[in-house]
Amino acid sequence: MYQNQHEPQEIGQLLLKKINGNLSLEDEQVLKQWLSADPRNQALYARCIDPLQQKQVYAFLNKIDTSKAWLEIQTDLEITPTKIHKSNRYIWRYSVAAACALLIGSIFLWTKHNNTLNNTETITKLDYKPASNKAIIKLSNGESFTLDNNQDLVEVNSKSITYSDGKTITSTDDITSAEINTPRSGYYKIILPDGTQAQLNAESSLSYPLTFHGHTREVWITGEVYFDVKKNEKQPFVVHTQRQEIQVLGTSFNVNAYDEKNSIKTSLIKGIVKVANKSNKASSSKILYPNQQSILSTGKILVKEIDPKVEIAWINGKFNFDGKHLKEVMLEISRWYDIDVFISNDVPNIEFFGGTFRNNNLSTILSLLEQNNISYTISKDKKLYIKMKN
Amino acid sequence: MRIDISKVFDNENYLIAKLVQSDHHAFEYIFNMYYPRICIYALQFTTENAQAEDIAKEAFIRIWKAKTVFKSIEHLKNTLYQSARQIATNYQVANQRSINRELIYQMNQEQHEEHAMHNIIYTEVMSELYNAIQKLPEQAKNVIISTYLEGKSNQEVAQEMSLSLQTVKNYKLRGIKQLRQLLSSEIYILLIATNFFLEKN
Repeated sequence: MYQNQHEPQEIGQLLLKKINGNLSLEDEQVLKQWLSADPRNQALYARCIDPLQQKQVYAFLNKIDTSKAWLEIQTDLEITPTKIHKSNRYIWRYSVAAACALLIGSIFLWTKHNNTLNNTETITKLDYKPASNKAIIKLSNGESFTLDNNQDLVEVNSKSITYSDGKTITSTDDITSAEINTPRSGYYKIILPDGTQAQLNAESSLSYPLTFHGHTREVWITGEVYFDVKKNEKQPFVVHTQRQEIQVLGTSFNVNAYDEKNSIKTSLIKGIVKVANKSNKASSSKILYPNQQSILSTGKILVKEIDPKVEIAWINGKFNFDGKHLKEVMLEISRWYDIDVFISNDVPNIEFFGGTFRNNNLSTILSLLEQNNISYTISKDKKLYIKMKN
Repeated sequence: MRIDISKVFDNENYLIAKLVQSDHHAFEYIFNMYYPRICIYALQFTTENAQAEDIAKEAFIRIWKAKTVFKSIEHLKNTLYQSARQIATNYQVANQRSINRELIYQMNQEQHEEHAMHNIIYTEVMSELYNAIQKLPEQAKNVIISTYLEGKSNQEVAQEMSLSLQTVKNYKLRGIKQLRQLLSSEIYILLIATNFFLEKN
């Protein structure tokens, strides 16, 4: 039997202190007593303070690749990335999506006194699922199609509209252009006629001709889109938002134009792009290199260095809230969970940092607010109220 | 006020609740936190680094599949240690049938007659030491590793890092001070439940 005079925890701490040369006189007494109690204790002691052992452990731990190991056990754990789908595929009307696109997420600020929140029936247990594959495609002949939410990638070119598994929705013989819209709480990947891949975040749109004629390949976007452009030096790729235009050859970059009126953020991952302010192209254009981001605000384009992990976290299915404040975070939440957020004016504009997975239910993220003294209620009509706990 | 969104699982009750629901994000969090440490533990039963990693992986797979309802992180961690030990023992039996039988048998005799709890204490001490060193600022970390772990003199380190002798000494002093803070008992808690292993031995 183990002599339970000394708690293993205490011994562990004493050994660490010993390694670190931080033993008090009293500690030393305890350690001595423990050492003399059992020769096996002496063996443990010798192993722990042996620099060679420490060095070996250090080298071993340095070599361990935890993320790789995690990937390797995925099949054994049987937790291949899950897609969350609703069984009843309901039809999105184009007009609804268009209306949503104008809203661009919605948060409201409210005062506790004049709000009827306390009287309305609210259900705290209610939860909402994260965004899933949803989009609507509108063709130049006026036809529109709701894309399958069991698929995630669609190729739209001058021949047909076809899912990645080969299933064709329609042929596009007489069609000249297409517009793809994702609603709030929806996202989709599109392959353009030139092989370029575009990934639309929630509440975003992309439109383009089904054949790229002329000297350039031109596309128009709203919201947030990540591009992986097929290289073609003879026909540069141009991304338009209302106020900005981006010229590229072949490259990967992200455009965030959710808040186009105030700022458009273009983040470059690979290659080179030229960003220009449409109203003043000659004097305000900037070249971006990898890991740089341009911010077009009032007429000026600023360039800063970025951590691509943060800026394109959404591409990898994650939120990254580093340095963002409550309102900004809630806008993202609003778009991702298709919910209107009401923030009481007693809640400070909290700064967030860190990241989390985007396929968590809403309550997962909200539980964090709760841990920080903020209470929330979710109503049946998709409204989220946030206030300080009393 | 600042909120770290990635700390959503730092709340133990929440983490445990999510694990009960077989939430794989919660489990990934556990994996990231304890995988290296279980590898160290497993390395005490084998001579191969790769085999130690295999044992650790199997231990995680086992506790995920068993769907045990853990009462606490401590409970979970001890179950991990226990599983790793069982798996390692199975590996050893297999190993002993191989040509290295003699050698491994000797090593087992010498190294592993110690109390099972000792291997855990060893693992915890080594892991905490590693974590603390990893948290040091870059230069201080390099100096500490070179002088303590690799046994180099201050002079040698100064030459290697193209620093003055005094700068190396300063880094070393600062490093030790920071290590002491990092390892001080207020913020550092060894999560070892005493009763689990005691019953067994």
